[in-house]
Amino acid sequence: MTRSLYLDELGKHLAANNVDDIEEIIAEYDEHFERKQADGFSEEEISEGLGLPSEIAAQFESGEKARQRPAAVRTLLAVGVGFVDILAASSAIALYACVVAVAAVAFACFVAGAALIVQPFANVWFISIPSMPYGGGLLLAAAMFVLGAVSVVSTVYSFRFTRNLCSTYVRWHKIVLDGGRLPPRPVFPLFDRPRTNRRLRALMVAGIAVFIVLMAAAYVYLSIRAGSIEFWHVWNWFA
Amino acid sequence: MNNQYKKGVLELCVLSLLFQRDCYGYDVSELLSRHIEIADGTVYPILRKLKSDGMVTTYLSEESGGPPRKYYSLTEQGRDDFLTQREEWLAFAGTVEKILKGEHIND
Repeated sequence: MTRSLYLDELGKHLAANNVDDIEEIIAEYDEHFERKQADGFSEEEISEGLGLPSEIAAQFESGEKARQRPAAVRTLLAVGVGFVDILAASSAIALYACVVAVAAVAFACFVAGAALIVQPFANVWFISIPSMPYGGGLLLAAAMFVLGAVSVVSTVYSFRFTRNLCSTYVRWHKIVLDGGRLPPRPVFPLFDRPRTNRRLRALMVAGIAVFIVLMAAAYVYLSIRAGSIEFWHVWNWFA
Repeated sequence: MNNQYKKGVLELCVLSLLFQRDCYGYDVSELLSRHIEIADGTVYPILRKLKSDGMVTTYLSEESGGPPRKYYSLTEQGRDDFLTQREEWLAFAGTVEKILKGEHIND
């Protein structure tokens, strides 16, 4: 194909696909011909090397002329999205509150564990652990620390989950109001799949199992020491 | 070679060339099509997409004795994204190479 014929064909196909800035694109391919010819290639060879104009044109993204919706539609959309926003905001607050709750569990576990260990040695006014054989206290403390660790991980992941949910929503909100004109984020589909951290998952399951085992062990130990299944009665914990 | 597969990698290659220095579109096209089996015209749409995504920007340079020509260069965002994606790709490619050679993979 000759140079002018190629560029013509390319232009036609680009127009058919409603691509923006066709002149700029043609100019670039024109320059390509220019430079290649200066390197000694023939117009025919250059056309061959470039590929079919129809195939090249297909690789350009079609620009959407900014769709101007009628004002009535835009107002309706804005109001509708506004209502969904209220719903989404309250849900987000609830979810973040849950994250805070899990964090509080983690904190409480570490404090309880520390208190159980320290209890017989320190007579501090804010530590009021009911008295029990120290062995039982240690088992319970271990259980608390394990649960605390599991809770820390849970806090981090539930926080990330909520944050991703919120940013997805914000993005949806913008797209709806903008009529889909947001520039796409660069995506390499081969590499973007989220990977589950299998080791961490196994660790978490193990942690919960260990916690249950430790609690059971503590219960058994304390029962034996008290000589009764309801050791808390024997020692007047809830008097 | 699979087309979809090539396309994603080509963007990464274009970013890499521009990371080293600003280039004319023609230079990027020539360099890549010399080493990889692609149609010469494939690189220009990629450059355009990178530009509309904000990864790459263009400027005109005054050449002595000729019309001003368009240079492509990476933006801040392009640099950051490229470095991240390069790491991911190299790790991925390393693993693939081990699998293809039947070697043991450290988890």
